[in-house]
Amino acid sequence: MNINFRVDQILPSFGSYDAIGTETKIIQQAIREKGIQSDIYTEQGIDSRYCKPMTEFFKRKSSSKDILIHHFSIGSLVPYYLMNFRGRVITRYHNITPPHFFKYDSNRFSRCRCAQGRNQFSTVRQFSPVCWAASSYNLEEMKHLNFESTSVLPVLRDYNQLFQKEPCSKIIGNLKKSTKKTILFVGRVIPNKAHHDLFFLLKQYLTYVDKNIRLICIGAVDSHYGKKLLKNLAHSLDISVLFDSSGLNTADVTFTGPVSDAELVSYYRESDAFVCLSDHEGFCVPLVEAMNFGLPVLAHPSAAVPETLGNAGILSDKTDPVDLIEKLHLILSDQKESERLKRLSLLRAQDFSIDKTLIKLSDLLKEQIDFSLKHDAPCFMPNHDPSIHSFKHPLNMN
Amino acid sequence: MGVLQTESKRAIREHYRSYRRDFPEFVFNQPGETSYPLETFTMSVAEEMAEESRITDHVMDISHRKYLGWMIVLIKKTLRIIAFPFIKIIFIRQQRFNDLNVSLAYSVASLEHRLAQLESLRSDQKGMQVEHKFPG
Repeated sequence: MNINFRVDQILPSFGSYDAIGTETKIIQQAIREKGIQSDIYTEQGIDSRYCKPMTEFFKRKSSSKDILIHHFSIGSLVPYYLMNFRGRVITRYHNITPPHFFKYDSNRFSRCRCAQGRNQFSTVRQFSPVCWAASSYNLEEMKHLNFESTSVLPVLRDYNQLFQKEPCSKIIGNLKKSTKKTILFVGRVIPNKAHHDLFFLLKQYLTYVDKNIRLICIGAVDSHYGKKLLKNLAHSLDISVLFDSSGLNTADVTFTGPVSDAELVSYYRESDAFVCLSDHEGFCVPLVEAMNFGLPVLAHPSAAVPETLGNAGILSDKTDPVDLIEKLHLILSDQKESERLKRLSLLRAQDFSIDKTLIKLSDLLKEQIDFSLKHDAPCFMPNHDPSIHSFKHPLNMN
Repeated sequence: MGVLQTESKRAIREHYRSYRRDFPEFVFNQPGETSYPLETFTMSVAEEMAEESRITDHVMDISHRKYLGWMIVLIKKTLRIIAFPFIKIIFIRQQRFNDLNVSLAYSVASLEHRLAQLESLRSDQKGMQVEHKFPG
């Protein structure tokens, strides 16, 4: 079969091991397996094994049959690069953190990028008629833009690969040395993940319910929010916190920083509950990872969390701390409840398996490829004044 | 359910009110607030980015390591003394990059604002059936 079109991907920053980077690799592989040419173009984090620099994107000539998947998760110049693309653009919307979470000065860059991203919705819509959102919550945010075609496609990730990894015996040994119950949270230490609320929950639980509990937080630590604000909070609440895994059996809270897959598996296997009090999540991959390991989940029902969790865990509004503590105690002390949640978690996790999501991706891709081959994609959407699109790349690379 | 006694519940709720009041550096949602409306366009995005061009933050040499922290801090301070003569060159380049970035952000911000205005004009004029004539 002579395939004379391409399906490429474009994103502002590529991380080989983050959720979006992993997804782009899976999508690229799935496309190439169909015999279609596919590249990933990015501005930052170029990993030559997987992606190409943006300069390559500017040099190549696109055809009206080509398809481009734009991963939209942060503000950047990428939406403006789409202006000269002659084919069909699909917006893959991962959600953009509302900028008000990055309140303090050292996060000014993050705040600007998030604000810019949330201002770019109409710009993105100018050049893209199709939206694939990672959750219904994300799709709801795009509803007012009236895309021609919208779909929910959960984040593509091979959870089985993580599940089958051999755990790190050293970490397991360390964890088993203590009889403390372990509550776990996985996610970058940034304001919208609300680690401060986890601290408060832990303190109240230690004071009024049981002293035999510890909190482990896995994820890269933002230097100001993590190492200054949270440290101050811990000091005020009189809980001990350490920023390396040596504190596993001594500190009330341990931040491990980024960990390898083997270490991550160890933490998932040996923890007693996964607690997520995030204020904003576009999908929450760690929730699905925890469910894959049968870990009972307690979560605050914000953004896409209730949708991802389904009926597999317990939802509790964190603005009612009494209810939250009661439910945490239920998970940690009631064996029957814990087993019930484990069964529900394992069942729910199957809905996000790589096989199911790849089938969905395949169906959506086929739909777009068929459309693209039958119709010529317009360079601009109708009713646009081309004179206002006189954008030139700052390095004059048009 | 019911592990907490009435007094404990009252105390926890009181602690929670103090916690939200005493730590304004954290963002706290209102009860039931689970989603966030899209912000409208503001020029403050570009203005905030303009502040990034001022590289004046004092960087503290700290380490949170329990036993080797003093050595790590000493190494950091030594490296900073060695790098000091070259810092100005690096900062000038960074400053230039940031200035370019800021001017680009201003251009882009005004373009987005114009797009939003045109979009609003187009939806206003839909009922009037005015035919747009584009140049070229």
